[in-house]
Amino acid sequence: MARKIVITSGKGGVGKTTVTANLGAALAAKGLRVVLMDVDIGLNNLDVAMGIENKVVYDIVDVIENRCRPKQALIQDDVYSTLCTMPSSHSYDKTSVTGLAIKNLTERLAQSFDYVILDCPAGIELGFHRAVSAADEAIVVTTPHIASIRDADKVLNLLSTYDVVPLGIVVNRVRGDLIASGDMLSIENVEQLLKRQVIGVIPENDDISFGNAMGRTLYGVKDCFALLAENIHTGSRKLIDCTQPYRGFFGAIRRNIKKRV
Amino acid sequence: MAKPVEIELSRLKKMLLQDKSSAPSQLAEVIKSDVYSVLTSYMDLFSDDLKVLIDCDEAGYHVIISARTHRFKQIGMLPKKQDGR
Repeated sequence: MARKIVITSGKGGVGKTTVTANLGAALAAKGLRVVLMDVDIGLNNLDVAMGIENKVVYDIVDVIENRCRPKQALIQDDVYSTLCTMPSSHSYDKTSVTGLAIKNLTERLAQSFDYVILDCPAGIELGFHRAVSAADEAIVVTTPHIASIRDADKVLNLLSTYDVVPLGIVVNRVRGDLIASGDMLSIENVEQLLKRQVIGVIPENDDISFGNAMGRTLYGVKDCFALLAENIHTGSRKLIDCTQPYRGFFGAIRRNIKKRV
Repeated sequence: MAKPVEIELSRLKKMLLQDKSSAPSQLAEVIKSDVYSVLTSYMDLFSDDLKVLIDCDEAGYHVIISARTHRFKQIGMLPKKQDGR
């Protein structure tokens, strides 16, 4: 039976979809069977992140309304044959998409995969409820910024009212130079504030923006997603130290150069 | 001058506590003011030497009060107890 994990955050724009896409690719790179479900109905972007927007024939609403079988809506990844995506609908009509319908579909997919990863919409309203009620575990994505951490805290409190185990926090868009100079909250600060373990650190990186723009996941390129996948799969806790290049004498020079550039 | 991250951390701690407890943001200041008026009857105390910190975890809320003084008031100068004991 698959592990059903929802990727959530509360605040929009923190990188839920990016984390979902790249985590899926990193798990599939380990040979695991992974399905990514876009539960952000109406504001679907997972297909764009996966570069499959032109391959969508059926979507999640078609499956729920019995216009096709789940297998017909799944789109296999070009690089990893064990990675599939269930795209969301661009239609705003979500009346048939209830929490129970998503839960039932997740259960069906769980029989054929090792991981079902749900990309949750922003906010804490009906879309959040639909995604979270279908999952057994949750990962909260945040950035080291004040508004994002505040929303992550609210989401963690909300998750405690569901039958969902919070696996931990993924901190996205981390700038090692700013942390080293004391201008950005550190990973330890985030853990202390949210009172949860950080299981993934994603540095601010041009490759990630480029990958998103090109519709490509960072296949085996980025250690941060590989480590996140390993932490989730094995329960280990290995994190990237973003501040390492910016410590010491030469680190101070690098920080200054980066600040000026 | 405090670093931006220290200010951010302090603001966030207050915000998260306020979100969880629905307590007014000035609660620590109100407690501090009341505690200050009590403690100054027993010791010489500057307002800056009295700290009130409210934190919370799974077990509940923790109000941590710390005061630093250089001199306690002498017995004769202490206020009389009202119940006469």
